[in-house]
Amino acid sequence: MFFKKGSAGKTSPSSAPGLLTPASQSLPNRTLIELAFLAFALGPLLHFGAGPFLGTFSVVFAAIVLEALPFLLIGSVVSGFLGGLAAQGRILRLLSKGGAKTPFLAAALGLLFPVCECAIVPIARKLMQKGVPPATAMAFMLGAPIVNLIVFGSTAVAYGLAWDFAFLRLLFGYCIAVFISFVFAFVFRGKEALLPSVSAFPIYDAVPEGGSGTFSSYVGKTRSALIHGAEDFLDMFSLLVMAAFVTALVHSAVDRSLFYSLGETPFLGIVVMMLLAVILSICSEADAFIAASFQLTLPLSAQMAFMVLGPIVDLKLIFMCLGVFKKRAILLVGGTAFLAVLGLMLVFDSYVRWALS
Amino acid sequence: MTSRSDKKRKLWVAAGYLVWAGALVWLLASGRYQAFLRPGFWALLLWALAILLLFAGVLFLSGRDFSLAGKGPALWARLGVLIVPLVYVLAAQEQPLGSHALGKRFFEPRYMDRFAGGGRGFVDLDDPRVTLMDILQHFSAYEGRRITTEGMVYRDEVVPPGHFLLFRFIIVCCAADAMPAGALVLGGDGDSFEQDTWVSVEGVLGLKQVGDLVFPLIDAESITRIDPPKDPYLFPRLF
Repeated sequence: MFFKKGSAGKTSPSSAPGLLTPASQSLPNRTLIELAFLAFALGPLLHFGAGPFLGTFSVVFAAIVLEALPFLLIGSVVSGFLGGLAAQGRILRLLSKGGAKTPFLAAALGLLFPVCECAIVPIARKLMQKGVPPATAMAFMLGAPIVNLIVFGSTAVAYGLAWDFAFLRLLFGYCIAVFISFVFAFVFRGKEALLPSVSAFPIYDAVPEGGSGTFSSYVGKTRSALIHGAEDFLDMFSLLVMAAFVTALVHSAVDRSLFYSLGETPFLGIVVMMLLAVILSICSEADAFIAASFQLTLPLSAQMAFMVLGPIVDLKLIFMCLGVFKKRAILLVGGTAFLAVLGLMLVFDSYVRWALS
Repeated sequence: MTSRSDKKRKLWVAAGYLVWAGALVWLLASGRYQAFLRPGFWALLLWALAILLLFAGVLFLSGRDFSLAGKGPALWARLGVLIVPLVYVLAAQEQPLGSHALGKRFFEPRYMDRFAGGGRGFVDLDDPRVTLMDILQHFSAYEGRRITTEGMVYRDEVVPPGHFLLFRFIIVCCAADAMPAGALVLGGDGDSFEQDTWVSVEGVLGLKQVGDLVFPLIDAESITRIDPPKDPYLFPRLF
């Protein structure tokens, strides 16, 4: 027997979730969506052949997928190994405690485990299946893509080694992640925000025959982790591909200067840059360079809004979260993030104007 | 206990991963991944390749101890989605971002002097061969000097008559974050070159105001059609 049937919350091989189980349980219409996507995605290519629009679209679409692929795969492996981690692991034990302190810790974990938003969803899902409260996992999911040293470095470089500005970005991202975590905990009790497929199958701790501590047990654990990583990857990759497709359509069809011309006042500038962040779905490790390209045309608050909201709410993340959270939970997080970032950036804008006056 | 059809389904999924692994080998071995990503990304793609092979391996070798629940249309739909990006990789590999992408992107020439620690790098004024990124990062060093640079031809209603915009894209991570770098070109036989043609321009560097924007201007002495370079994009030094 490969999976040891344990106490409540453990699963046997026969009842262990198999490949595609999460998707088929969580999104009844997902297969239909995927079939429709297939027809649409392969239709234009076959019918219109090579052209300027399709050329741009193909490059951007393939680029987004290729860029995200290693991170998603690494995230899937990590999530697979998290499944086999002992529940008594120090960090897991701290996070699983719940309570008011854990979101503060979880939102800063990116400093230890620098992951971008492509890798974060499967890891967060596995953490919740390991017993970490969803609100705490949410703090980690939203915080880690901003509060990490790679993002800190790239932001500073994009802004001409403005370390203070890069630090502010991390601070704002951290505060927003913690705030949303508390709102999430206030609105949703227990696992009610999760899809049944996520909350219904608590984690299967893989303990192979031969007992723990032996060579065969390590081999078994590794094999188990990889199998579940492979399962997570197929589930998440399909969502990523569809999100990348929509994002690439926007990149190829929408003129970015339209956004600029709309953002004439600080308020509009912030809103427009937030919308742009959601639509463009640029990796948090590269988005500072895009934001910085607006340095001479939009206020700092609008650029900061782009960098704070993007890693928290973008099309890629929304699609991937559809495989984990109920739609109303995603709406709550998205709406709260939008309003919180808007409010924070308006305050930041006022401060900058006061400081410069 | 798993059935024979279940074993087949696992093999199909493993085969899907192997197709992706093969595509990564091809992209890495040929260097074509640089049509989409910055050069240093090969290391991450190598990791991706290793993990895909591991995933395929464990699925091939998994026996009765792992049951595959997904089947029928659900499995085939997901495998189809898995393969879609590869179709677009094949469609895109000979076609770098060009004038269509430029028309959709915001162009702010003045910003470039702050790009990637701009202005702090070494400038070799004895070598007239520069990139468009060099010009934008170190404009004041090159102003008034004779330079030679390469790029693609672009014209629209903003570009003044008798000029064209010479441009290339700068990529930080991937083509989705591509930003244009460009300079106006005046003179030579510029009108004879079509949109998206790769050219080498030799001339004296100056400035020209167009509306609210100030562009670098190359007063061209010669413009020569060239083959597309191996790396169509420019990649800034990050640290």
